[in-house]
Amino acid sequence: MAAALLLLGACDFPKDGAGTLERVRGGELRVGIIENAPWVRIADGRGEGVEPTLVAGWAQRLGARVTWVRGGMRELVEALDRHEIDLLVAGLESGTPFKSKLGLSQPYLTTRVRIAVSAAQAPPEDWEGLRVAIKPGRVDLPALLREQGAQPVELREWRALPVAGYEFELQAPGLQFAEPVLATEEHVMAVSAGENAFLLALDKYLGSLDRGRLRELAAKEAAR
Amino acid sequence: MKPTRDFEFPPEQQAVLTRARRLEWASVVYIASAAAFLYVTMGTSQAMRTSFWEDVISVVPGIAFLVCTRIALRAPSQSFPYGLHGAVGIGYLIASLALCGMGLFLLGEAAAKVIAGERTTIGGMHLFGTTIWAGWPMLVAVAYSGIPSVLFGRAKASLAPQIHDKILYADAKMMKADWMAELATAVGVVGAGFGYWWLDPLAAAIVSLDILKDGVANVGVAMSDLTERRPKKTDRSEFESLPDEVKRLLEDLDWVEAAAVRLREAGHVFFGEAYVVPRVSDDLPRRIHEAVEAAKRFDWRLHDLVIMPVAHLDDQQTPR
Repeated sequence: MAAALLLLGACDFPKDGAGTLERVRGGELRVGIIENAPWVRIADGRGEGVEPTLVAGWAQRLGARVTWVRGGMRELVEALDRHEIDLLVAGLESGTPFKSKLGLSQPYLTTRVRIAVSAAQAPPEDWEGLRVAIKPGRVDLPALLREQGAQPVELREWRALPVAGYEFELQAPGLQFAEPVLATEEHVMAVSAGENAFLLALDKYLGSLDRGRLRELAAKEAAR
Repeated sequence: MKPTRDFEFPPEQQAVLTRARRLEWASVVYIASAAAFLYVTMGTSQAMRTSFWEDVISVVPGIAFLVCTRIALRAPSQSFPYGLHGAVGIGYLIASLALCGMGLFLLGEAAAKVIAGERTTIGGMHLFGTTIWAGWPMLVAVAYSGIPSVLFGRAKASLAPQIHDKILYADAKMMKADWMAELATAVGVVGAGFGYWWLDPLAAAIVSLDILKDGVANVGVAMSDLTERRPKKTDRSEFESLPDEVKRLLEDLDWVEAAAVRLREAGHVFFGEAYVVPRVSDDLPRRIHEAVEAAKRFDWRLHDLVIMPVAHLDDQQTPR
């Protein structure tokens, strides 16, 4: 048994069900994208933001050129299943409801969603009925705030109000975090299910990234 | 009501029971750790998931044994004049039903996965600062779960007949089946790694079928035990020879012309009746009392015997 395992380790193992890694190397990497700032932004049909930046870095290592494919979630999950695209980046989290249809990567970043208040004031004990500022276009925040009974207000600039967002974007002088932590998110990417070697290559790339610089990248993207 | 005597095992069997209980505690702890290991590494592999549940469910007979042997040792009382020996049979039925339910559940899940065309993907796992193929830790977990099961199974199978404990025996059989199940899981994981994703749910289905088969067989035995079928040996290989031996023992007494014996099983022990045709009619109460005591001394499992003198043996009283 041990000898058989050693043999496995020596040859090309694991393998892809549909040979994606072999095809993409030195070829084309087709990437499905869905707008989900700051993780994915779409400008002129091209992917920008945290995840497309990471994908571009990986494609460079693989010697592949990236083709961006836009679409809805269901559409792109099906395209992935039919091998019409190779990779899906959409600000996915490890608990995505499409999990069983996808080959999910290891979480490349874990983030916490929190509320920050001015360091000069005591954080409130209870958020019931309180107004909390959020950046416009952040789809997940209103629901998280309403769970606490707080009232989300979309504002570009906030001064007096408490503000909700990712921990890394609220780390600023003059602000302090208040309880509770609204959510903990594990960010992942997805490949076609059954593509073991391709997914392992992606996991290896994501695992090699420097966490600190990833957080800086996320903070920079969130500030745009 | 007149309670039966407060006795389960003679000292030698009591020592075996203590060893069996220690063994069961060890295996419950070990299985829990193996299940935790499988859970941490399982990812999206259906075979790994099935293996995890198989481990969780395989704790049930062990726990049933630990609980039921405790209950069975309780003294007979006014409310339970026959003692609580039957608890072993109930525990055995519960353990067998748990096996059936889990087998069906996992078989359904594997089938659903194939029908939905959900392909298993095994990618990387971050471990101590590097990224390795997640299949390797899975295989280590499978080996950890499978290999010691062989040893536990052997030890339990050798103890079970000594204290005539069917739960312990069923548990031993399950542990023996465990390593085969783990081997199937390993094939599923490696198969998925080669891109044959369907090998994963297929391995899961085979493991679930095996669990289901064990469950059905054990439910059958547990139910016939509870309906007091003619007793079988602990390993179910053949009918128990004790009734014949008691019949011979009675017929060897000089005052007995012929005897017929009927025994029923209550957990570890037997209760029963013997019909004897006496050659003489003087001093019968003393002779019967001595015969009962001799029979009890003959085999510790014979918990109580009622001897009834009759004029002739009716055919209906001889077991067919």
